[in-house]
Amino acid sequence: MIGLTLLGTGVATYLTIAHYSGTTTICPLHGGCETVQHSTYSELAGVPVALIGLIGYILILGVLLMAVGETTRLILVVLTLGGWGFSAYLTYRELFSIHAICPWCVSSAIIMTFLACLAVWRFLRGEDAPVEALPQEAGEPGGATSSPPSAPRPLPGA
Amino acid sequence: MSSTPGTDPDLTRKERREQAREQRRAIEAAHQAGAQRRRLLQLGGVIGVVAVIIVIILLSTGGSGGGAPKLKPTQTGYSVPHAAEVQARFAGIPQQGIELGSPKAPVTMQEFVDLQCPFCRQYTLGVFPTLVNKYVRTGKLRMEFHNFYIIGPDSLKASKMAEAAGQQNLLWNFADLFYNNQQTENSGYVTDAFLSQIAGGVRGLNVSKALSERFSPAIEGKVNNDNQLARVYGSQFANLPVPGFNGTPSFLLYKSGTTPQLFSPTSLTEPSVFETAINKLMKG
Repeated sequence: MIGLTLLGTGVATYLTIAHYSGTTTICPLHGGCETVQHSTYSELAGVPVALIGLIGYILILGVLLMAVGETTRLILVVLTLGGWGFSAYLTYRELFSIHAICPWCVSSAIIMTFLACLAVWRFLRGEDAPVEALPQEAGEPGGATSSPPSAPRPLPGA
Repeated sequence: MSSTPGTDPDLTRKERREQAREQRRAIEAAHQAGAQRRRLLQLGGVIGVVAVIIVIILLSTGGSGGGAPKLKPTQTGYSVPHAAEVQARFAGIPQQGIELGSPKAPVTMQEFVDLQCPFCRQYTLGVFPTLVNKYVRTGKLRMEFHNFYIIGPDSLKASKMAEAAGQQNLLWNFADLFYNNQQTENSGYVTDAFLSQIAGGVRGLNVSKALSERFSPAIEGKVNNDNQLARVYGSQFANLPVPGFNGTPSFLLYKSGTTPQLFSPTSLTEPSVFETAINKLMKG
């Protein structure tokens, strides 16, 4: 996930700089980068959406570097789903309002999709080690599962 | 029977341990299920909130097409968005009325455009800068600007202002800056105030002179001629597999001094489509 986030950060950084400096975007894959970058939807309440994306990616990176736990996993879900929703909105605008596609924006949306899927999966999976799959050793005293320090549960009869 | 696990004397020790383990597992599973329900609820909550926020954003930004952000009244002169960029693009390139580039350039491209047309904007933003840098600036290509106003009365209004700028040999600067700040077609944005703002962003343009001269009979005649010409081409090229001149932008691309040829680019955002055609004409 960190690798993907770094990639997304790179794209967002490039687009933010391009927006503020007014230089022509290098546009891969025959896209309509200029039209998208110059459209009214390239800003939200005066803030370039590229900058919003950049802040989002940096936040995600920050949380990924923090200690792992239920709370951080939830925060990642919030950030990546929010980022995904925003990317979806921007893609909608590209397709139906601007009628031009910027490949940079699309790649960010794809990265965000992967990040959101990974974040949700990790969150729903819960503990760092999957609980159900491992067969229990015979004669094991005490706990039937390995509980991480963040979610201790008192075992009855212990 | 004892209710405490592991104390029933009827079971063997091994069986007692098994029973205890079973019960721990059951409680563990119940905890897990509870935690999973909680997570799913939280996930549902997040999805719900994100959806609401996105809908709010969608509704609050809707209504306009893919045009540029609205011009603020405070954005005048060089603070008109893209003014400096446009200035730099044409600096040092000869301009005469509707013509751009060296009069001796071997290849000519005529564009028939509507200043309100979003596709003309796409072309001007995505392809035009490359052509100017690579071909016009180097004396290989010369361009001509022709009006083909089809979208609405505001198009004609904008055309006339562009022609007036042309009388000061700044038509291309004006048109480029206009496209960079183009708003939603036929939304009524082409006011005198808007035209003044755009004109004000073109360095060296006498705005009040342009504003008054745009109503001259000479300019009236010019824009009407252009439009008629466009329609003549339209009927001429109507029966082609890809009909020409039935919309904007329309292009004629040919060796200078010869009969204008129709050019129907397959992309308005990909410069290479134009470059290939220009290179071909330069070789042949």
